[in-house]
Amino acid sequence: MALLSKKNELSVSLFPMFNILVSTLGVLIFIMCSITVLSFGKTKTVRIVQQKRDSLHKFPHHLVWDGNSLILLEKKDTVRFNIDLAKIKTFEQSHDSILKVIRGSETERFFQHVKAHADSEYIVILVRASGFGSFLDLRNFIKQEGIDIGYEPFENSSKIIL
Amino acid sequence: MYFKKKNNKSSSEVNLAPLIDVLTCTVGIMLFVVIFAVLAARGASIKYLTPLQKEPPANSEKRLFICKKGRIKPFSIKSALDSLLANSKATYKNIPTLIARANAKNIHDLFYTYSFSYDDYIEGDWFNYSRIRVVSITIHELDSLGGDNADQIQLNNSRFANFMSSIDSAHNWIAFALCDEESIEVFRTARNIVIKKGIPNGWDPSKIKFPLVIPLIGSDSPDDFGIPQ
Repeated sequence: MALLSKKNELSVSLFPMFNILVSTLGVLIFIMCSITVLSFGKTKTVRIVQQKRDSLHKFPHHLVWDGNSLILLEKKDTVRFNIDLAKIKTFEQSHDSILKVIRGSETERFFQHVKAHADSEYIVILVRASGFGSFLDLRNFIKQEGIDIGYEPFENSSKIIL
Repeated sequence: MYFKKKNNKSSSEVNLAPLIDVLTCTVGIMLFVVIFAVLAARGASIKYLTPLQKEPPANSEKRLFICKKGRIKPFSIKSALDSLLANSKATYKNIPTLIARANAKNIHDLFYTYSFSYDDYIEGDWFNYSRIRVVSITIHELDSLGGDNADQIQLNNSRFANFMSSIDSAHNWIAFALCDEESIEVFRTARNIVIKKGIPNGWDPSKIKFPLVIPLIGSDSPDDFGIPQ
């Protein structure tokens, strides 16, 4: 009479393994979705790498303009305008308005400092999209002060840090 | 007769090694994606090369590109003016005829249509007046969504790439008119291409709206209308 073969292999149920697999995938997908939402959301950060001072290049100071406030990144000083420069008819009037707003502030002292060192320093304005409309008034003000200027556009939602 | 009881568990006797391979590969890929996404989310590294505003190179021609609604397109009234003048000098006498002839041609390019108008009027009072004669060009957008987006301009055979290859970097410079936040990406991409080609460039925020009317100011000379060439 034939004998049945005896198998010594371990018998395992696959269900716990599938549970682990599905749970792991679920968690990872959740993490991915969260990160994707964050990356498209309001927390995108732009870090400005400060240039080192040398004798060959002018040293840039970074400010952020959003149409309503001018932020001096180095000293974290903010000047709020509460006026729409774009609605002012002439550059002379907007120049006077800007002077009036920054009077006595850290930003005014900063402008005076850069003006005194105009041969070795200049200003970079990081222009948020909300400040596009009034930026030409600000640029004209800075140029009239005898300060060299550079400018870069940035998204409204990006967080800019130095 | 004695029968040995048969074991019924034969269906669950499975080797787990392939499943662990699948799990490990999947987790590995997902971790890679997560790490990549984290790096992307932590912050964009914006590289810009000492954006100190400089005057454009002397004797170089300005080539204007409008970045609007996430797309970029060239803007030039030169071909329209060429059609207006048609190798003849514009004077106060012949300008109405030239305008009628140019408008009959229905001047257009890929993105805009152009038409001309002529105004001749008196300004001032009875004793102190001046005669104003102005030619204006009116530009209509053919399609507000026309132009190339950031992905399209990176293609080697894109209109933007072809245009950049066709111009001489010593005698041209590129001006970008940036209209909105949506277009910052296409502007950055386009500027990178321009920088790689070694072409001087600059940008300004713009409030340009269509239809756009540009007055072409007349000169003091009674004969020469002074339309920019």
